[in-house]
Amino acid sequence: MKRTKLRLLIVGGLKTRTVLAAAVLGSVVLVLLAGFAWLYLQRSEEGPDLVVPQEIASMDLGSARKMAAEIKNQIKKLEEKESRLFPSGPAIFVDSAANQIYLIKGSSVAAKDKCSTGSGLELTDTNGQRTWTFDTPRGYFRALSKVTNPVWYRPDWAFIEEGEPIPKNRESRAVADVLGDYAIAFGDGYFIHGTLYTRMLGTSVTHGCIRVDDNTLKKIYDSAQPGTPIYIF
Amino acid sequence: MIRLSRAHRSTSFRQSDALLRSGAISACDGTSLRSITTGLAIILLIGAFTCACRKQGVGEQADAENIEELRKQVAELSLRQQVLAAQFSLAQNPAPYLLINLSEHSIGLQAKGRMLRAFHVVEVEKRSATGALNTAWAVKEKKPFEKSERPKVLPGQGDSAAAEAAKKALWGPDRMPADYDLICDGDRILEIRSLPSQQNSSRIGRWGKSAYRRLVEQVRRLKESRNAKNTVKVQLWLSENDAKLLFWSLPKQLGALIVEGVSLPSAPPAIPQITENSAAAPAKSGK
Repeated sequence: MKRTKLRLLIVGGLKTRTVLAAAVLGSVVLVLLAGFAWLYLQRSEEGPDLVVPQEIASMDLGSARKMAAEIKNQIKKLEEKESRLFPSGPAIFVDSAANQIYLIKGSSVAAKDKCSTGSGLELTDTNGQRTWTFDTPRGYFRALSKVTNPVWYRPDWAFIEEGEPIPKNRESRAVADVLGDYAIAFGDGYFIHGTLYTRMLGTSVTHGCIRVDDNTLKKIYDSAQPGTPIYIF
Repeated sequence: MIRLSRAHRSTSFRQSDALLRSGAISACDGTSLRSITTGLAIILLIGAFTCACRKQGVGEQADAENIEELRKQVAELSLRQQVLAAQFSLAQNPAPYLLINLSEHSIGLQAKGRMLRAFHVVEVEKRSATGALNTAWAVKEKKPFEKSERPKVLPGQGDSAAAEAAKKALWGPDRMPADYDLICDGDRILEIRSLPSQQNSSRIGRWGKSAYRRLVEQVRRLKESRNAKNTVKVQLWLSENDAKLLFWSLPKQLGALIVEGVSLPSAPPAIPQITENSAAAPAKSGK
């Protein structure tokens, strides 16, 4: 008798537990579904209806026709003006994500090649006081000057990176031949220049300058003039 | 109008003739026949007049519809002109700018009216953005939720550190944050959020990740709502790769035009080879 009651209790207990577990699981699933439904409904993607301004809404047929023709004419002029904005002369484009450089003349590609841009590395000096990040800046720049057989005056970070003492005089910083045959300055100490490390072209390894193979650099150098636009993106 | 067939007419004449001959209809009945004919003629005239009037009414209604349509067209053209003028003033400036078309779900990094990079927007959400669209915004700051850890070079390590970092792909678009805010002037924010890219995982994996990211975004939004300000926000959901590449490509400050309800012709590429697909392709940097 006692055993039967015990069995019933256990079975009953088990059933209750199963039912409870199922109820909890069901509630969780329901809450999750409700949550996702709410998230879905939260999205407001529909565009607004066009609002007709009062001055247009009160126009008669003749004035509306005249205004439509006027606006169409102005739109056409604007589109024409915008299509003429792009420089017809040479322009340099640097795709820093793909490490590619392009020389564009009007609507044609005059030169295209691999290049190297900033490594993104961060250098902190031994005192921990100064930090440099080696990035190529993005945006619009202009060629400021052109140099043949450029000499590199090594900045402080170049000595720190090599673990060398920083010299006091400018002459001790000068190094010839490392920037290739040509360099085009575009501000804040950044240059488009040649390189000895041609194997590294196509990767991000520089201190922020743009390194290009000498043959391509020659084409760019010959076409670029002070003021030539440079786009880095 | 009712047209009687020839056979029917001849039958009715024959019948009336027979009736007259048989004397069933008297002379005075002939007068009433005339008045019936006159009555019919009047009814026909009235019918014709009503038809003419109705036609004129339809014409007036068509005119009214025409002018409504024309007014709508003028409003659309006017909006288009406003957007083009704003775009032109951005394009006049030599610096690159963003052209975000909410209706077409596209983002273009452009310069001088030419496309540098194009991105696809998966989803758009605007919050209290009425009146702030179709005008130029100025992006002042890129604010990522998580800062990317830069690879370090130690003093004395030399050039080899850069080569090593490049070999291991420690830096590049892939290492950029995927969720960030572009803080703009006048309390306006462009919120860039990412959804898993197609090539990164299976469909179920992507679905799970998307659900998780949306949930995180909702929690973030709830937290934000406590110290709510009157900020105009436009949220753009991009694929993870696109969000990272966009962050990588943007200069520190730039102009942005957010367009809605206007269809604009897509800008020609600045570099003839660059198309939407190649522009948004995974970066090769550092490999």
